[in-house]
Amino acid sequence: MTAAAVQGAALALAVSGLVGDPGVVAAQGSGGGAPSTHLIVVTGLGGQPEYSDLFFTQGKSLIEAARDRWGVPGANITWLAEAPDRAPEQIADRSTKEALETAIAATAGRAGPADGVMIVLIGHGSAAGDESKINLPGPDVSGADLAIALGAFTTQTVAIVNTASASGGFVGELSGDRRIVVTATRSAREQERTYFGSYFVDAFLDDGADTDKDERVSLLEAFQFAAGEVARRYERDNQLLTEHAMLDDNGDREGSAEPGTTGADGALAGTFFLATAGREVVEAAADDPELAALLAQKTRIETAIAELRRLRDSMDPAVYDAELETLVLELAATNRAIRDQGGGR
Amino acid sequence: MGRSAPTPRLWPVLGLLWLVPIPACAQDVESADVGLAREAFQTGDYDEAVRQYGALAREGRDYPTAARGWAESLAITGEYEAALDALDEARTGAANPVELDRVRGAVLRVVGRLDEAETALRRSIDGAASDAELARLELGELLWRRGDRDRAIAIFDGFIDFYNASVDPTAAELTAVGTALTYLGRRDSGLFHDAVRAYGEAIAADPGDPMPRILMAELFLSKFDSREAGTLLDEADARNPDHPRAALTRARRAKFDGSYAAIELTERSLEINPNDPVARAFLARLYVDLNDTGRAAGEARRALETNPVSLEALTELAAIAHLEDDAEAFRAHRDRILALNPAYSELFEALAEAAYRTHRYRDAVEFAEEAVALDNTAWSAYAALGLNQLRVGELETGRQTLESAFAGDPFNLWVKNTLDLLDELSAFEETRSDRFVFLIHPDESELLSIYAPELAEEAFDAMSARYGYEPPTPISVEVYDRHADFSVRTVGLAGIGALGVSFGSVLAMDSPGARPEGEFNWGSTLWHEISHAFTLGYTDHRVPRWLSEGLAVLDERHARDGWGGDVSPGFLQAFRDERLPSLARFNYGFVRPEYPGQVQHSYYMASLLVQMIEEEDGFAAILAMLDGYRDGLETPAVFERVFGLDADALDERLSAYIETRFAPAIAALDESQPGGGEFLALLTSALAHRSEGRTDEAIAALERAREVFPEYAGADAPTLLLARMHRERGDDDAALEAYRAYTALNENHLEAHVALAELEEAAGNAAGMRDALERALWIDPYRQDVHEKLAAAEEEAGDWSAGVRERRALLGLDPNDRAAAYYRLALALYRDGDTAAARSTVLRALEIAPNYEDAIDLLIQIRGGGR
Repeated sequence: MTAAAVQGAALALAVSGLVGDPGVVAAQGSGGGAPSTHLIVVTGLGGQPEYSDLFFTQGKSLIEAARDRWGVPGANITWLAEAPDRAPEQIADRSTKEALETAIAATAGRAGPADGVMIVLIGHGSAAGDESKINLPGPDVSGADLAIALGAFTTQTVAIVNTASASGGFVGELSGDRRIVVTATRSAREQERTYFGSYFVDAFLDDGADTDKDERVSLLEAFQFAAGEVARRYERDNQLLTEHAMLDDNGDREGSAEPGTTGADGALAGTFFLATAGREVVEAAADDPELAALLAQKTRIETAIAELRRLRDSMDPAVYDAELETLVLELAATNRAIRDQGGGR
Repeated sequence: MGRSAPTPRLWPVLGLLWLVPIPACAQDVESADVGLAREAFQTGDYDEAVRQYGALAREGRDYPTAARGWAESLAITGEYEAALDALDEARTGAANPVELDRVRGAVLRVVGRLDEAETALRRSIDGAASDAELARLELGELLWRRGDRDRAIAIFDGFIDFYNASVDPTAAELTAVGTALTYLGRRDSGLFHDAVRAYGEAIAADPGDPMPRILMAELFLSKFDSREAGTLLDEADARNPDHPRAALTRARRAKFDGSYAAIELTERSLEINPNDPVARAFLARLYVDLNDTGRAAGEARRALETNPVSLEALTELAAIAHLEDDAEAFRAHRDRILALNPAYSELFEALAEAAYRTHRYRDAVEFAEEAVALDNTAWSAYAALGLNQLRVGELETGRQTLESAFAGDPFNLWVKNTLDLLDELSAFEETRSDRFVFLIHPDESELLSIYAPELAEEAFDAMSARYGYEPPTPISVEVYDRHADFSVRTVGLAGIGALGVSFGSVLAMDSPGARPEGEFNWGSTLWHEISHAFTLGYTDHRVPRWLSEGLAVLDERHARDGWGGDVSPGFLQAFRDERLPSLARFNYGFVRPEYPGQVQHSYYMASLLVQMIEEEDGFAAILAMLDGYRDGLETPAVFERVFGLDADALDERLSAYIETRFAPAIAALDESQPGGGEFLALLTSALAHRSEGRTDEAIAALERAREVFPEYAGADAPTLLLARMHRERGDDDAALEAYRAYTALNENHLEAHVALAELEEAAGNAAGMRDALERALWIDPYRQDVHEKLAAAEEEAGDWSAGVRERRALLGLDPNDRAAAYYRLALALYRDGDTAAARSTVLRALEIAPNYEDAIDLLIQIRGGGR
């Protein structure tokens, strides 16, 4: 199976709402173990106690949510922090450039070929011209530095989330195939403190960001949630928006401020999850043809709903609603049958 | 079919064209004495100029320059008869007396002896006097003002040829060219640029003469460039701080800028020339704007003493007669003016402006229509017509008229701004209720349309019962998401401080998003403007501003706890120091405040007056007052008819009312007492105690401060500080009481309303919590948390209809989780019994999230018909 075919298959099932991440199906197809997600969280220099506490809290919340809420194995989580002694049982090392490169290499060494990797950088950023850097103990790390280290991931889908100020330059440096790059700002020139990181972490803490109600939060949903809350905050405070978060996942080195599953950017991020929920279902389906058939039926119905939605504006509203109602009820019945078949949700 | 994107409207500016090199010295070389005299004249030492020129002229020296200068130096300070006498004296024995006829004609024109003026001017021209070109300009202006526009234009046209053919025109001739071109610019706006160039060349030719700068300033002002006009006037002032026309132009600029200094500046001009009929008439206009018709008439009559045929002065008398509903006098003045100048469109333009200023917008439309009927190049009249058509709700007609105005005079910034605004307004979404039509920006319409129509209908019902009257419907309400747009809609320019405006049955206001949270309450603002629609309509737009504002504030007060303004220490101090306006001059407090804050004080004072009347005389007395104004009575007559009192006596009643109501606070605000008065001392001491951790002492001081001034609702009010401190120390009962009291006074404090809601909830008072949250939404309707809490509370209370409203509002806030928002709305609709809407809405949730189990369950429930 080619990489493109793997990606296509993964997308199809991810849309079904049953799989954890795109690698799941690829791993099955290749006969290996079920793919999983790896998370590296880096909390950089705070500069002031207030920010050190904020970054620490964000990092801690994120890794705990990944582990406890979304089922990311503890062994797959690496947290590098400014002060490891604040939580020695959770923090792997100090968040230096060297430690980050080591963590990336180690993750690349243990990750399966279809695994997903998410690297979240939390801290202050700075800029030298159009180049963005994240401020870490010791030398800062630029997008170019990170690009070299990420070369270790030759087959995995990698998401890099830089929540720092002046982070926009990371898009151009890190954009590429199987890459999702999220930055808190549009360019290296937006250097005010950012709120994006707080809301990005919040997206994984409760249900608010799960807009399609599939009981998981995709990276796209997390981005949309965080960007929306940032805008709302600035509006509420009557301030001009000084941070414009961007997402790039089509490799064109241009981020989108409003990514979506049908736009230039967003399709890949829409299928990227921390959650591994659904892995069991897919594994069970491999040995249960009836369950596999139900899953296929579910995918068909969801595809039909998506197609109907596309035609909405050209349809009589009453006819549209009637057809939609029929399809969602059919989908609900199928979901029940999957559950009855032991496939969980 | 949608409207295509409008072509960007360019607003041309006149600036820079006149920046020609200025030579180091004037081109003329005259005798030293004449030079001294001219220097004295140009720098404003008119007595010296008279002395110097007079001495020369009497000796027959430097003829005709000295003789002309003598007369002009007398005329500029208003000594017109002396000027004519001087000319007669200088003429005696002069070899070529026509050399003096241009100045004679000019002076005669000022004093209204028009036939004699025309004769003199023609003598100058026919006799080929050395200043015949200047005489031609005078004659052109004279003919223009007599309505003989064709012959005037022909003369002005001649100046283009003169300019092109002239080898070495004098500064005065170049100034005349500039002035001629400003007339011609009415037919070809491009000529305004040439006028600026000509004035610029005049300045270069004689840098010491302030006149071309003053005239150029007038031109810039007429083209809405106040800044450039100001620069030129500053330059003129630097040369001559006592030029009466410069002072008058400065006054006009102040009026244009909305500055209260216009009267003082006009008076300054009149100090230099007390007999200038134009300045007198302008002062009359300023008093008309203040609705002070007595003073206005006095000034107009003084102008007529100098010039019995002053069109400006007669126009003000006509405006006064109209405002006073004296139809006979109005007709007499109008007919007289039109007999003097059948093409004097300025009469109707001025009447339109006066009608606008006094809120008679329909009259303004009719007058402006008459103006453009008289002169189809009166572009400013077209502008007035268009703007007033918009004010009475004729949006499309108004737009067309403004397009005509802009085509004729593309310099008119008000027109340009308003046309741009209309382009934006066309994209606003319309929401209709029984008696209202709302136009709201698409970004806000979904949310605001949930609340505004309901409140407006409630206001209409309440006020129609109260006033026994219903204004014409539908009442149109434009809600602007940007304050600058609201400002343009109101006055044509950005910068107005108001929150809302009522043109009768057309209202405009800031949306809650147009200003920072806490600056205003959009619910009370809407209520306030609707009140104006009632009082304006009731009185056929004759209610004076103070009464309309007072009633609007009082109506707010009747609508909700906390609405309707509150008393400030500054108000009570102004009352004690007798700085509040008297009832006889009440409007001045609104439009020409004497100190910062007087406008706000005037609003509050007006509300107290009407509240006193309602409490002591009954609302029938208010209605009787409105009846009086509708019948055309002036304020003194209204007071006499309703109360049997004059303004002073009613003033005394009001003073006693305020004194009684606020006696402890007034005493406690006496700055002459130690610590700046008891109230301030208590606050200071409370803060000191608090910062040092002595909470009990701080609370005791605040309790005492609250006791002496319980009505104070500022951000540092003891009631609010107490509420916070009680809450901090866990005394929720005391905090609840204080927050209740504070929010009953302050309509804008969001934090206090939210805190009150939390405390009411903790106290188990669900109704109180809902009430506090609902009031919070009139301060800031964009708070998701407030809507969420209110929705949950309404649903908990079983008020599913209110729950539906809140759920709709949450959707209007464009939440991140739209599927959940739709689901919750569907649930509320279902519980409220609207199954069809519930089904449609839950499908919107499932459209976004087809696997949404709660939504599926609800859909199944809806299909099953269960509840």
